[in-house]
Amino acid sequence: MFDRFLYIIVFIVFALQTMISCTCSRTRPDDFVIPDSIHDVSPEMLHDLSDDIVDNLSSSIETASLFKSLDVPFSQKYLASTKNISDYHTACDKAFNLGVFGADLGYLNMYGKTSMVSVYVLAMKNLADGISIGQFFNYATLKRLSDNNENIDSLIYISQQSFNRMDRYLRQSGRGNLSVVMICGVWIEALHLSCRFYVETANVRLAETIGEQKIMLAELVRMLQLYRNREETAALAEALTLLQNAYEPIEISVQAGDLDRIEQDGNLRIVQNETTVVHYTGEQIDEIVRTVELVRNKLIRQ
Amino acid sequence: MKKRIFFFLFLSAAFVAPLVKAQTEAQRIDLCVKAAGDVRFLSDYPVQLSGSGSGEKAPVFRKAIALHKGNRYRLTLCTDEESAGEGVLQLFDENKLVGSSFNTKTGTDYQSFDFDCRKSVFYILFISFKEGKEGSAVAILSHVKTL
Repeated sequence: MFDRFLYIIVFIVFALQTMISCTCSRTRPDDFVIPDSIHDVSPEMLHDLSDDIVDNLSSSIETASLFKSLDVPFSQKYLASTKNISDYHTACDKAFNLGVFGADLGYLNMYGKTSMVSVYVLAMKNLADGISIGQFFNYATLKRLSDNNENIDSLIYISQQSFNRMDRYLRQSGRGNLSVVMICGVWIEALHLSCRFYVETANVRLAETIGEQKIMLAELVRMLQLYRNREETAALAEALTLLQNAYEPIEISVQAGDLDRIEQDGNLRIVQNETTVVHYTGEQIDEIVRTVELVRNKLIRQ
Repeated sequence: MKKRIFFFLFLSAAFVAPLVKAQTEAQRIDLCVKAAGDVRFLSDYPVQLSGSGSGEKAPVFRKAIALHKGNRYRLTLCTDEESAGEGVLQLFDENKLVGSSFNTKTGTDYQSFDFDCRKSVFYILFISFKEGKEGSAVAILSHVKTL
């Protein structure tokens, strides 16, 4: 009797193992190919990415790094309040505000405000649990790193990695809509911070950064349109449309240039001389700033 | 009694094996993040590709990534020790190659290369293995500094 039971269990375990190994692979041997030689790469291969979600769209780390490089002083007053999380009932609300807090966390990390980090990671943990992705948010490590005032780069690494894992899991588990909503949250909050600091400093670099977000906004709209039949993303789609209207007069051109390859001590650096140029007026940026505040505060209910 | 011991050992091994595999991937990423140096981590791309048969073209991993003007990025590729093929990481702007971990003219491999980005656009990251061999690797995208 035990023998028979044993064989059945062994069979089930083998079957489960096979299923797990077939479904958990994160890599995709794509159906198109690339050889070692770049000459064999066809433009079709490069452009056939319409269903792909673009990575690093929201650039919260780059934005926070820009603030620091411009010596913009730290300001807590522009961050989203974690006290509102009981108001976020739907999965979309939770995903969006998880993104918002993610951008604020990146800002706090960059400025080394570890005492405030623990408040944000707790709020993020609650929101992540609310949409069943809390297991990918490394709360314990983040809390330990912030409590012990440890290395900022480690905090950024664990924060980013937690965020990327939650995002990937959402897409792998058929909830790509929440992934897009979360990315929108990060992007809008990073843009909001740029807008606030632009109002304070009138810095040209910040104005350019705000203006060039037109490129990212177009991609976010495209990604959200993949889920246009979902009622829960309607408020966000409406917000992005308002932003698109504000961005409409901004023009972005490309100035041609070659690449420079600099090799020093065995390290390779490639300098791109082709540049994007943002054409804007102060009034146009002011209109974007007003619209960003309107839609951001409405979406986070602040 | 032996059967029961075998049974419980088998069950333990069966359920622990996937966890060990997952842990190994996390360790590979951690090691590659360290190899990237004193930079800020942005994203990781674990890749495992099958080899190609004779006459077939090699499979490739691709990912669209947004890079933003005025930033220096570092792209790092760590080919696994047990990988049959040596990994190659290439960065494209539309159909133009802007960076590669392998210099085809000199035959030099670079574990990392920095990219001074002056054009905010969507780039495409390609990872393949030389000679179309089977292989596994981890790529790391990190932020070096604001320019």
